[in-house]
Amino acid sequence: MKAPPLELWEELWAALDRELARHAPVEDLGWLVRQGRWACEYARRAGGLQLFDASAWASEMGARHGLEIHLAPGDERWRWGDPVALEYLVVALCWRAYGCQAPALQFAGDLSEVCIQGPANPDDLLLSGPLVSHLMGQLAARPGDSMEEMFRCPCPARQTELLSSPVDLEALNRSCMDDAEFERELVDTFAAEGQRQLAGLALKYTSHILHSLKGSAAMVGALRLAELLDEQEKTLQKDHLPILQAEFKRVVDFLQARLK
Amino acid sequence: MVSLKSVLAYLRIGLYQWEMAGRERTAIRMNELIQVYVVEDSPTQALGVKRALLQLPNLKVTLFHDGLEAYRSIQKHKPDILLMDLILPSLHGLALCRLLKFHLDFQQIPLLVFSSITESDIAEQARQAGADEFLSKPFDPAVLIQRVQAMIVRLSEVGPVAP
Repeated sequence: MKAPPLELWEELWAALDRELARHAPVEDLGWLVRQGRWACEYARRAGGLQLFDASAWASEMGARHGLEIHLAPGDERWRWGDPVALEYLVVALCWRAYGCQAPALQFAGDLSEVCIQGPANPDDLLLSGPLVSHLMGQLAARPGDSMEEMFRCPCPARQTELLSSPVDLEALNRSCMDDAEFERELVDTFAAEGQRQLAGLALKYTSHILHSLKGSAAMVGALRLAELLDEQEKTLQKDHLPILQAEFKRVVDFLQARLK
Repeated sequence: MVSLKSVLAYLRIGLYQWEMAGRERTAIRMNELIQVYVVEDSPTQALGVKRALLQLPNLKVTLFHDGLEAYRSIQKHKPDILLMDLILPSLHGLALCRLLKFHLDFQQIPLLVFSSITESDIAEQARQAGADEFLSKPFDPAVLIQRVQAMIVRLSEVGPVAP
């Protein structure tokens, strides 16, 4: 499978948007497109690096639709820009667009193929359909794209930092006005507030708590967490609480490690 | 019979006195502590707002975590400026705005509303409810400082809110 550079992702999203408007007006697919655009925009602003966590996204997406996604051990941390992210997308799109029943997903050993195992058909099936063909056609029309190109980061110095960071440090520094002492106070307050609010969500999953935590997450630069909370504020799916807890822990661990 | 000349002289004196009174009022205002109430239920965000405001001189910042609690306090003691979130416990921010703008005693208080609500017309809703300024969260503290500074300048031009 060809590996698309970032620009192609953007084209892909635009094409999906057009396709969906014409053939499959499924409101959730619009969400996917927006999500992708946001990721691309963020990647561009962050210097070209893809920060989007495809596995978390796919799990979320799957959970939203009762879709089970199984990742092979060691493959849990696929990131946006990886071919697998595209496969996730295609599967989710096709599943919704063609009205399949919730399938279980598995990836072929070399991750080049996605298989679905639908309840109606116990045999593994390679995913197919007009939309997949459309997407694959787009990818095939780009000769010479390599894996290296796909993961290319125009700003390599920031790559390691950003890949491991669930926090946009520029946003954090802006909020703290570059005051290290205040940053400590802000992080401690955020950690305590977040824990209390997540405990509150376990008891009562309300948009008010989600909204409040979203604002705080954005203030400390935890943009991914803020985005998850924003989504939950609108959809209120309590079974997503573990995802929020995991991302919150990742953010707090990162912030606290930074302070040491 | 009063001549046109003397009418003009009276007018000039009146204008001079009015200008001087304004200058005096401004000077007093600039040296006084400006009372700013901040209504924000999230401790993290309240901390951020307070920290930003403390960059400005002569400001006394009081925090409230609840819309109703803030409204009760305003009734007892009016702030010079009110900064508030929209999603608040007990009393929604838009309702608080409307209450204040409806009441003759409070409608002069300058209101700055901030929110992370993503509805496209939320700023317009806030303005219709009476907000003078709106900021989307997360905001740059420098922008908040700038907006509050502008409010203080306007406040000094129109004079203090009557006690």
